[in-house]
Amino acid sequence: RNLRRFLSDTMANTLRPYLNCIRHTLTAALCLRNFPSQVVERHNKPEVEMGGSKELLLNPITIARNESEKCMIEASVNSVRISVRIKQADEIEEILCHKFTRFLMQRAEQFIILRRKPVEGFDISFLITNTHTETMWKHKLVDFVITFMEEIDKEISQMKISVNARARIVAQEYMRQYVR
Amino acid sequence: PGRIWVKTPQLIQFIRQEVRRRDPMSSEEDLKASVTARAAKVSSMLSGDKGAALRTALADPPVTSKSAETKALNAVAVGDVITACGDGEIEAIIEGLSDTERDVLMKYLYKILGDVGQCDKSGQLLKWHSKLLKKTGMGAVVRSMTDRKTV
Repeated sequence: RNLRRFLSDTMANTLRPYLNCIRHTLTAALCLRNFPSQVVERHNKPEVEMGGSKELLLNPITIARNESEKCMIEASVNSVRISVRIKQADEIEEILCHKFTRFLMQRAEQFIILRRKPVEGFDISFLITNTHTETMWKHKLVDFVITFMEEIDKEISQMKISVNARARIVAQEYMRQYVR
Repeated sequence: PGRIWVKTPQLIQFIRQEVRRRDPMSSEEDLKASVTARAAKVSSMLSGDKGAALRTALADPPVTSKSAETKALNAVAVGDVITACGDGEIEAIIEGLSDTERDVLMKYLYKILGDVGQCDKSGQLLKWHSKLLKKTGMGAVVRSMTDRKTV
């Protein structure tokens, strides 16, 4: 247990600068305004999803902490798409991550800014539009995304620990019948 | 009075020749040559003044180049200087840069941070990023996202 706490402390030390960088980049990217569609009249679409007019899109920025953890921020005039690739060390974490993100994405309406499908190559995506920044505080939106990224790592490692503990108990109980 | 009317195709040809004559660095080969020369110069300066090495690497980035290799070459040169610097030197070096150089540095930081192949440098780059941000403010970040002239 002490080793785990030590590891989590050292992990947090390298995590902090990564999250701070994402926080500042996100604060810069979340300058959104209403922009009706130039293609279809009376329509208002998030331009980052439409991807049609180049003049409305900003340069996408990817911040990669290592091969398995990165964050891509694609901004446009009225919307921002944030895609996160969560660290998955082994197969159990892969399955847990996939199930957990699927659970969240099926309830995307409750989260408001969550996207129902992750972008290619990432595990989960957010879509923030000008309507969201008009109704919600921008710094709180950024806080939410950063806290989400922090918490999801912790949740997945906790789930993995409980899966392993349950498996150990089950195996013990099963093997008890053979031990005399 | 005194106006000379030249036929339009000839005028265009004349302007093109003038541009080529006055701006010899606009071709791809020239850009690549200047980038390779700069990379060699920077690697030779790495043992000495790191601030000067960084200023050389950041001078005149190949923003007009359409070749990804040329841009990658320059990014490698900048990345080498960044990894060669110790933690204590970062602030001093950033102080010594001009505003345009700081903007270019921010663009390069994001470019190298985005390259998963170079993720072993990410710790250093993130340190540079936070210190540079403290100096430049949000403007540099916004400019690296909005500037069409990508580094």
